[in-house]
Amino acid sequence: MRIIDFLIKPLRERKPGRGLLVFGVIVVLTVVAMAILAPFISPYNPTQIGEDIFAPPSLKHPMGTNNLGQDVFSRIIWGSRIILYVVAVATTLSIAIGVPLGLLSGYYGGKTDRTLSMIMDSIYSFPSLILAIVIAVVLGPSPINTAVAISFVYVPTYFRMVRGQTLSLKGQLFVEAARAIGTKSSEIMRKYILPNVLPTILVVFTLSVADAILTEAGLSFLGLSVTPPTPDWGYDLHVGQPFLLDGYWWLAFFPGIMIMLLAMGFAMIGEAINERLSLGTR
Amino acid sequence: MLLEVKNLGVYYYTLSGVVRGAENVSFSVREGEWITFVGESGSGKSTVAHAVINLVPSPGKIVTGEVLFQGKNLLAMKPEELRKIRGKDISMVFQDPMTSLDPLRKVGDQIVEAMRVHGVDDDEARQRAKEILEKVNLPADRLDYYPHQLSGGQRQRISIAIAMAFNPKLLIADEPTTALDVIVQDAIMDLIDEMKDEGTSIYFVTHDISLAAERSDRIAVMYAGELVEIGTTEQIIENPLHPYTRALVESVPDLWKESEVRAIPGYPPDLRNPPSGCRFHPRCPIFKEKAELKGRCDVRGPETLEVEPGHFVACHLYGGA
Repeated sequence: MRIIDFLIKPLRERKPGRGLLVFGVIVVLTVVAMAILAPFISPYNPTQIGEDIFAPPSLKHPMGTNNLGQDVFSRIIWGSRIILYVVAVATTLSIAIGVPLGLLSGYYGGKTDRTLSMIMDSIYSFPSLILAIVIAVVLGPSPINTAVAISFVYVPTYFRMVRGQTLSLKGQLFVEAARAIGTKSSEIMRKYILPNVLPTILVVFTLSVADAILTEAGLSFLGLSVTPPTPDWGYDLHVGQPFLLDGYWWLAFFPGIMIMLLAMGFAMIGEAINERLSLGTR
Repeated sequence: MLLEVKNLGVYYYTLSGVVRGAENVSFSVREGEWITFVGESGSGKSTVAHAVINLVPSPGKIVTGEVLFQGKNLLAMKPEELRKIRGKDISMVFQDPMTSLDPLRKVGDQIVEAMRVHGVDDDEARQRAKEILEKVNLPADRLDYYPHQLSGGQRQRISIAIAMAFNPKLLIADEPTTALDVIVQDAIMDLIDEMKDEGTSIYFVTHDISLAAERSDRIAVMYAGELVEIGTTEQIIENPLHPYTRALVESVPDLWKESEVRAIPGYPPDLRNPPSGCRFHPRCPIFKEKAELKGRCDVRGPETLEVEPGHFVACHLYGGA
C-alpha cells in the first residue's frame, strides 16, 4: 500500500515537475498497455506478408504498410513487447548486480572496494553504445543477449550511485546506533542502508531506462537483437530507413517516433522524481 | 569490576595526518556506579566511549590497549560474540537524537528491532516495547510515530527506550543531553538515574562539569586525548588537583555572582602533533608562573599518581621530585 501511495501521490500534488511526471507516466503506461493487449488491439498479424506494399497511412492501415506489405501499426504494437522485455530484463539484471555490489563495496571498503570501483570505473569510461555493440556481437543476436549486453553497460551506473550513498549513510549516527544494538552487518545493509538508498535507485532507474531504450533500439537497428520477421522498433527503423528517400516516410517515422516517445517518457519521470527529491544527479 | 580499560589508544588516520584521539587511557567502572567523563570538544572523551564497545567511527582505529568487560577483552572478541554483547549487556545512547534514529522506520519498530536482533520473538518484543515506552514517560501511541514526528526530547526518550530493552549492565551515554534544552535535559537525566537504580552502571560523557557533578559517583577528566584526573565527584569538585580540572571547575558560571565567566585561555592542541611533555603545559597557568617547572612539564609526560585513596592525577605538581 505504501508503495502505491508513494507512486500515486506525486501525480496529484501541484509541485514543480508535475507536468513532466504526468506526461511521462501516460506515455509509459500507454506503451505498457499496448504490449499487454497486443493480441486484442492489433488489427493484423504483424508478420503477415501482404500484396499491398508501401500503402500510405489510411483508415485500413493507420500507419501504412511496409516493403513486404506488413501492417506498420500492428508491428508497432507487437514491437513494444520486445523493447519492453529487453529493457526490463536488462535493468533488472543491472540492478540485481549493481545494487548489492555497491552496498558491499561502500559498506566494507578496503581492497574489495578499490578493486570493484576500478572495474566499474573502467566499464563506465567506455561509450555505452559501443560497449553494448561489442558484447552483443560476441554473444550473438537474440533479445536475451541484447538484454545481457545492455545490463552490463548499466551496472556501473547503479554501482556508483549506491556505493556513494552507502558511504555517506554508513557514517550516519543511526547506522552506528544500529551497530550499537548488536545488528548484524548484513541486516544493517538490508534494513537500514538499502531503504535509504531506494529513492536514489528509483531516479537512476528511470533515467537509465530511458538510456537503455535508446541503446536497445540502436542494437536492434544494427541487427543485433531480433531476427526477422519478429516486429521490433529498432529493426523496423532500420528496414524503413532506405525507403525514406523514396518518399515512403511512414516506414521509418513511426518506429522512430515511438522509440523517442518511450525514451522521453521515462526520462521525464526520472527528471520529475529527481526534481522532487533534489538529489542532484546529472 | 564491571569494566576495565587498560592503556587504550585510538588514532584517526586522516588524509592530513594521524590524529592521536586518545592515548594511555586506563580506568575502570564498578558495578552500579555512575562515572562521568568530562572534557572539551576533541578531548577524546567520546572516542574512548565508542572504543569501549569497539565502535570507533572510521577512519579511527584502536591501536593499543584492552577493554575488559566482566573479565573478557572486547577488543579481541570475534565480531559475532561482540554483537551479542552490544545492545544487551552494553547499550549506548548517542549525542544527537535527530540523527540516531532511522528516519524511515517507526520508532516502535526500532525498539522492537533492538530486542529482535537478540532473539526475542516479535509479539513479546512488542509487548515489552509498550512497557518500556511507559517507563520513559511516553504515551503508547508514540510507537507508531516516525522520528520526524517527535521532538528532540521525545526522540532521546526513544533512544533510551532502545537502550533499556534488556536492562543492560552498562549504559554508555555520549552527551545525550547536549542537543536538548535544560528542562528536557533534566528529565532525560532522571531516566538515566532510574536505569542506575535498576543496577545499570552509567558511563556518561559530557562537556558540562556541573552536569557531571550533579549525579555521578565519580568523575574522570580528559584533556587532549589523555586522562588527566579521576576521582570521586567530591574529590574532583572540592579538591581539583590538575590545573586543567581546576580551570574547568572555576569556569562554571555562577548565577549569583556578577563576576565574568572564567574561560581557559588558549585552545586545545592539534592532536596530529600534540605538545611535548604534559599536553596541557602550553595553557597551564602554573607552568607560566613557576620557572622551575621548565624542563619538566614541557619535556616529560607526567606519571599518574594516587594522591589520596581513589583520587588519581597526572601532573608534575604532585609526587615531589
